[in-house]
Amino acid sequence: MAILQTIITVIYYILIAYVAAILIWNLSKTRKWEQEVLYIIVLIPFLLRLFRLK
Amino acid sequence: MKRYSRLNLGTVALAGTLLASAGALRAQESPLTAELPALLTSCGQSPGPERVRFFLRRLELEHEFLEQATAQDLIDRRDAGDPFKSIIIVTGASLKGMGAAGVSIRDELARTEALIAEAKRQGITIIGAHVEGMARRAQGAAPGDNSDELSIDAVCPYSDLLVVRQDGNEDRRFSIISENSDIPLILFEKNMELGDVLRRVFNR
Amino acid sequence: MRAGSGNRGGRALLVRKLVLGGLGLLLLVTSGASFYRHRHLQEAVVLSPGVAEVKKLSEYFDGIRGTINDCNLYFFEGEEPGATVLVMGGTHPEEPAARLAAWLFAENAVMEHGRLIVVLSSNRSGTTVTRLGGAYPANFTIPTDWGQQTFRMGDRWSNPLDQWPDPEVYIHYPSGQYLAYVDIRNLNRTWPGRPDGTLTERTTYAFMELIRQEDVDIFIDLHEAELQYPVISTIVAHDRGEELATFVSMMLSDEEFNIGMEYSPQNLHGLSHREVGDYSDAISLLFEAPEPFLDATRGKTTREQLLTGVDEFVMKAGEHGLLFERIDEGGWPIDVRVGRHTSTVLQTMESWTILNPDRPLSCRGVPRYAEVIERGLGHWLHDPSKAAPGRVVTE
Repeated sequence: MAILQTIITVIYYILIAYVAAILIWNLSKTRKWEQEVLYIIVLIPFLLRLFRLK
Repeated sequence: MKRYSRLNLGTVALAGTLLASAGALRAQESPLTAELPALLTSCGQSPGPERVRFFLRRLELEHEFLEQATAQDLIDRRDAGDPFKSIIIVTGASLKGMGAAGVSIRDELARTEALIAEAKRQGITIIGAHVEGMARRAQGAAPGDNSDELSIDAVCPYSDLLVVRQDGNEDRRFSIISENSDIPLILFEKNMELGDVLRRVFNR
Repeated sequence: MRAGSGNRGGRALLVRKLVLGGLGLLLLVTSGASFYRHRHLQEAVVLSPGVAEVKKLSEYFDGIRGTINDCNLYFFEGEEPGATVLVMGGTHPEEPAARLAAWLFAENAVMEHGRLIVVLSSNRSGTTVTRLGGAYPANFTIPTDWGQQTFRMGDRWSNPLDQWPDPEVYIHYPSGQYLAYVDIRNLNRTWPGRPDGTLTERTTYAFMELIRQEDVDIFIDLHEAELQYPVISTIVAHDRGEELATFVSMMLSDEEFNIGMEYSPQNLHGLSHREVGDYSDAISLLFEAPEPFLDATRGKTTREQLLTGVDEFVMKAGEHGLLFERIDEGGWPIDVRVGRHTSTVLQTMESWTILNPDRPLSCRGVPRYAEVIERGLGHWLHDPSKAAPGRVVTE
């Protein structure tokens, strides 16, 4: 049970990193400032979780 | 108050229920005495009966506690040759208690009605009690929840004696029942006086 | 279009991205620093002369070793033998009076008869995070005779950094009861725990091992509740604790303040007042005090509201009959809430002793309700800078 929970948690963090990477990629590609602001706002909590701050 | 004084107070308060020390019975000496064995039960499944049971045990008054006592319990005891001589029904409802017991207030009222009817048939003294004060009346109820009052109405007007903690009678609810139905009412002020009340009611 | 204007447009885009990204980075760093400081705030405990030993929870269950929930356990040995009582604070770290009441025992209690075990951060992970989206203050400060002491403000649940993700539905072990998904991180829904479970389940399992191995007679779990919650200002008692709780409730209501008694429902699983009593020989009790800060109808979520309990919106809810406890302009100050808990614990010891004179419990040095209100709870928090060497630990 404990091993399964650890595996799930690791997969979760991999997903977080993947989503953060996609957000950064989209941020670099977009030409609309509204979308840039949106990507940054959405990105912050993902990074906080990835860096294990929140 | 220093700790030792408080410990002594608790001991004396408890001892006072066991000995013939004078308690502060507010209204009068017990106007009605009852006999044992007693059946202790609830109408509304509040924790109130625990307070009565605490003193019945300390005073070694012969009793049986059944949270959901039924008319059949009275019949069975009579048929066994050792009938209950009195019944203490503690009023005040608890949604948590009723939920845990798997009953509704309607179930409680129906059970209590049948119980009282059988008690009257057998000539058992009915003592209606409300011992938790205003916290077990409107103050403690959710909006629209009148189950406390329903339990009081189901028991008190049909009782032979009422035992009530004084602050639960701030609005003279029980005084009015007492006056209208000519039922003796005993009011007590502090929780620890309940023991003395019971001692006098059961003439110990 | 000329190539130069395209280059200028591309540069402008890059500059804009860098500026916005920089602002985002600034937000990330400042917020991240705030969360980091909160999680690592050190809380000093000046050990009472009555503390014989400070152990770690992992000494009772190795599966918690090295985790954030390997908390301190404060052991007090009585001058004379007697029973053993465990006082637990910090189950829900968003309920500060519960933790602070236990703190007063840790810094002041001296046992005369029997043993006392105190826990200040039973869900230590929960003390390192606040309610997501709740705008809680990260900490609060209690004025003391020597200055002030700052404590972490917490949440009801373990920190998601320590246990994540939550399942769709939390199936309680061993009852199989379905509970809210988030309650898998609620220490008061994971009793009795299991050795191979989540961090929170392993924590409660460790505490059960402590209770069983130390032959705890009375287990007391300190809490606070919102005034809209019906289980408030009360003692919730396991079946074996009903007589004791009734006695305590009656004595306190006669002499100090009103407090009720409620039965622990037999069919509601995961809570300490049910499971500790069912899975050990201890009598399990849970004490609730009012905390307007938790009410959904509250106004501003501030340190002031947390510590004073003054809230006009909660009062308005009271005027509409939506509350199960009174509130007025005086609110519910932290001193009142802490005092209720210290008196209830002390009264429990005294009432137990009257009912069990052969296994007494008695304690000195801890203030009761009136004293805490009169002098402020900070009076009984001691200056770590003046403590004797080796007599300060951190939570």
